[in-house]
Amino acid sequence: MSATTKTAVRHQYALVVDTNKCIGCEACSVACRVENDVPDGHWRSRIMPPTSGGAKVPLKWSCMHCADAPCVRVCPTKATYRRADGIVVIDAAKCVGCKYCIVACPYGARYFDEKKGIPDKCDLCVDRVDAGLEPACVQTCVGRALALADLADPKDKNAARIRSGEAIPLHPELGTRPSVYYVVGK
Amino acid sequence: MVWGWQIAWYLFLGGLGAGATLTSLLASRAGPRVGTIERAGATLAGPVVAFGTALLIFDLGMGRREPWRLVYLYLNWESPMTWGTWILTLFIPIALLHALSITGPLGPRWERPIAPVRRVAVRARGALKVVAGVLALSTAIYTGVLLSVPPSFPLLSSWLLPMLFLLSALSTGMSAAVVSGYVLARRQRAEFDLHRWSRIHIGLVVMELVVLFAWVTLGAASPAGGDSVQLLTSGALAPVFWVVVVFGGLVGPVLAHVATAASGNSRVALAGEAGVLAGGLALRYLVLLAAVPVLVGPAL
Repeated sequence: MSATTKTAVRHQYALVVDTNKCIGCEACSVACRVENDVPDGHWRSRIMPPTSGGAKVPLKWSCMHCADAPCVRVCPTKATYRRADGIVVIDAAKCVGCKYCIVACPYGARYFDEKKGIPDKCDLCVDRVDAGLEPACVQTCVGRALALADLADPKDKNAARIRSGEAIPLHPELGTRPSVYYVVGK
Repeated sequence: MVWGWQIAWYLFLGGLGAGATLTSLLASRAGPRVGTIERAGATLAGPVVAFGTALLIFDLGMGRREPWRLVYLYLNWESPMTWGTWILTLFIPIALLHALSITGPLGPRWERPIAPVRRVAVRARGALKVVAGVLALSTAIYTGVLLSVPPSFPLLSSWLLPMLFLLSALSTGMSAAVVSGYVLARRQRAEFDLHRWSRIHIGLVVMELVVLFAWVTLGAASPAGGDSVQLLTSGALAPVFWVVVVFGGLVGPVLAHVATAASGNSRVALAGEAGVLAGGLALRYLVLLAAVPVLVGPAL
């Protein structure tokens, strides 16, 4: 008798932003806002405009889902944690709303949701991803500048761009090891 | 910076309460008899830190809606906020017990229910002093550590910040204890030498000035840090920084103590102590307001 075991498929998610294809149309920002009912005055994903002396191209900016996330380290209740697949989420039931995570994020990715009484941020549309879909921003992107990569999948082409060094994280000197990677320059 | 006035006041009151305990312990080394300052410092500490902690709880987004969640705060050993939760949970009752162990009986109506607790506290007086001292030091230092751990605000990511907060806590606690001691003594028409603490306090304040300037100087090293320092020293926050924190809180009190020694006029010394308190509160506000985020705009 042979036993069939169902091995859980392991993922290691990352986001790849191809700045060569991004035109800064903000369709991703709109899709995110609609999908996640982001409150007025706050954002989970936005486009940082090109600035002189800084970025020369529009940058899609949201939670970096860092491997060494300061928000995870400082959260006193462990409401904020990093899943095994790399997505950093907030357990709304455990959060006391101390806002230390908002203070701790060097990428400024979090906001305080006054109505809910707790912080919030991009969660890579974790419910969609768990259902086999793409995050709203990725699905919407007209120029196909965004991609959800799975570093645990050796056949994933976007993961290959990360592994080859073609896609790089922003501000690695902060030491947080982000999971959002940018393809820059040609 | 998402933390506002509740946090600024908590930082001030937590530090003051811790400093009041440490001042009380310092005063207790003068002799076996419990003096006015020893009593005043010990009495202040518990209620002041408790009130500050109440402000913290009010600041929590879920603190009033679902207060039972507060138990979760004890869980993350890696979080400075969890350390603080434990420290405050222990310090507040210990500070109250320490006060009970060295103060006289309250009126008959209040003393009866607490008499058994007071008996235990008096017997454990020596141990209470040690534990209260350790917890007071921890309270004074951990808030600076809490602010310095995240990488997001270069102005705050300095080991000098916990040092500055410790010195400020000692100084504000001492001022509060001295002023309360003076008021108490006046009501009892007893003698009170405002000047006796001057030398210690001047020494503290001078150290605090040195650390403050070291912190500001080193803080300017990075771009965001430089922006923060500019805000403080020559920008929108400069008037409060120079007038209230530096002059009112530090330089002024030193001059006041010197003037009191020369003239014997206690009003000048009292003005100096009030300055220390105002400067301590302003410092906490400014630390939060001046912090510029490390990524003011993204760069590749």
